[in-house]
Amino acid sequence: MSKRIITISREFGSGGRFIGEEVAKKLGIAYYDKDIIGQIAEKSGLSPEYIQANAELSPKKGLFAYAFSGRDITGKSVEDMVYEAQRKVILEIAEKEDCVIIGRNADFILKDRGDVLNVFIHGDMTQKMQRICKLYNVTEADAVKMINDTDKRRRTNYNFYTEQKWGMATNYTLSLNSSVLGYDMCQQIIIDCTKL
Amino acid sequence: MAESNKMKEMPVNKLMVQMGIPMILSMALQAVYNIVDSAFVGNMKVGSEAALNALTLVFPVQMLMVAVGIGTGVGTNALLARTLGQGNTKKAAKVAGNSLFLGVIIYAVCLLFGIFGVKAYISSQTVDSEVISMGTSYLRICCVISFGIIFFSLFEKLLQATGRSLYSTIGQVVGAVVNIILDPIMIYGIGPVPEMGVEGAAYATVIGQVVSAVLLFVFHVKLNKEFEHGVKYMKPDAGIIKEIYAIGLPAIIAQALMSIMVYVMNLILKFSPSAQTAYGLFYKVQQFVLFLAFGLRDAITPIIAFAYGMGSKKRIKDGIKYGLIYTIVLMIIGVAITESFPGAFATLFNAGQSREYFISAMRIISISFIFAGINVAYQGIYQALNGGIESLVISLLRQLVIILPLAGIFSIFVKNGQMGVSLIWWAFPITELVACLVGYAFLKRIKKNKVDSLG
Repeated sequence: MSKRIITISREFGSGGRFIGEEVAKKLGIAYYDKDIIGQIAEKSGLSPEYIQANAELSPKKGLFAYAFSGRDITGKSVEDMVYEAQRKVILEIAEKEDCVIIGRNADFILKDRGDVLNVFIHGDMTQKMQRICKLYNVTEADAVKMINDTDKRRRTNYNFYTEQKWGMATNYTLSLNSSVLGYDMCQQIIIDCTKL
Repeated sequence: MAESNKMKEMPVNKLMVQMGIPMILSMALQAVYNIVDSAFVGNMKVGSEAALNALTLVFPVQMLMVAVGIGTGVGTNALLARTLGQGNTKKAAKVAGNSLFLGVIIYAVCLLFGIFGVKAYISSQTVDSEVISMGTSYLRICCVISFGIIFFSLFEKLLQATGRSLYSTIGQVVGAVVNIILDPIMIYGIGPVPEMGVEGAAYATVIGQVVSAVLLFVFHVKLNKEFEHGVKYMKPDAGIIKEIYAIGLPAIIAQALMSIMVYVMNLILKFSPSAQTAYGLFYKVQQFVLFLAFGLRDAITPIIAFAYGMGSKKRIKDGIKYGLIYTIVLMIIGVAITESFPGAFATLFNAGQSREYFISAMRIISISFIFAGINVAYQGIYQALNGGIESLVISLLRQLVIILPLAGIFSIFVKNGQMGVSLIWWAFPITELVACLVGYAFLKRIKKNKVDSLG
């Protein structure tokens, strides 16, 4: 089955978002990253800022990250509402058009479809650090901290809301090291794989 | 109005009343249960003094059983809500099944404790052989037939997760009524039923719990059609159990603190069984008042959490404002009643020798309700604004870190005869006041970091 939807999960600083955007351009298909936020906001009644800060990231790190969330009597937290809205939006997008979706546990949300190419992009610390230093204009030490912190919270969020482990090779069709392959090569491999 | 529109648009003060009242009533009911039980036991013809003392000593274990049951239920409830939200009915069936498996394990532990541990536990708090024997037989019955309370807690949360909390409340009310009807029959003996004293009270309690649990079981099987039921889903799944306790364990710990505090207070007051009993009786009255605050808190938290998610500064501030105002109003009513009629409560419990201590406890400790209520409301507010740690710190201060050393030190003066028992009671208002000041500082900090930064 040909792959009309590409999900890109990525380590912070690995260039995954950039690679995804380029792939979408070259294939001439839709690209969803931050634009999903507005749709989730509309569906859930929550603010885009809150969704940006919480939809992909756990509030804290570790096993008990979600233990202290405020819950209503049915056991639902605001984070859960965000996730439910996000899930619906992604399912709708996938139904509607060919696209590249960055992050947001889309690989798991779309796992029942046969037309999805799931990609995980990771990289070596040195390269990731250099990228973050440049993009955010921070020191090397701060960049390392940002990388570790963001990845931990992405991982915690993913592990909490899916039954899978973030970054496990078996979740993905492709797992690419962007530091070794370079961004261009990564894009080429992904594009080749959509023509299965 | 659809649920999320209500959270978004309904004025916060109205929304809070509407969400809070059912929760407050359900909480109050649980506490009434305990008060009525003690009142019947206090009015026994023989040995009521020792019996009331025995009931005081068993209370921490009863609370602990509820803490473990409710905590496991809270974890299940959160996981189930999330799983159903993702449309994963297969996993939902396993989550519900696993929580019942955990219920079996919890019951097994309680059963073993009931058979082997009860006597040592009671004896650690008293030297009076009559109290030991009464406490042992009461607690043994409660532990050996604890499947009622344990499975009630679990089914309650399973029904809440699917939005059927009304049914869990119905089951709870029926159980409470059964308990109250059986109390006089089994304690004093009516008709063919022999007089069973303290043991009768224990049987009435556990039968009430079992009735509640059976009703909830029926509701669960008949109404929770969102997922399948069956013994095969009870097969333990390490992943699911871990997910349940990732939410449930902190909830258990938070609840268990109350139990630990009362147990240590019993040890501190061991030198005077009358003071022990007075504190035990007072604690039941206090629980009634504070449960009102707990019920309200369960409305405050989701309202403010949603407002925070909406990024609405106004609704957050309204939530904090009305949450605190309503809590204070409830607490003032509580203080007014306890301060005005301490004698009536003492008579209700037939407090006997502990009457004077009880009245002094009511007079002194009741002052703390206002601060305690505010602390509870603070905890709900923090939790809504990602301040789980602050909430935990307040719990620890209130129930462990300040109260126990303070009461311990005061008890030395009392034992030396320099001061009366009422000095120990003062430890409570002092603790709550200090915790409240710390809580205020936390609130200011959280407001500054989380709320003022909103656009």
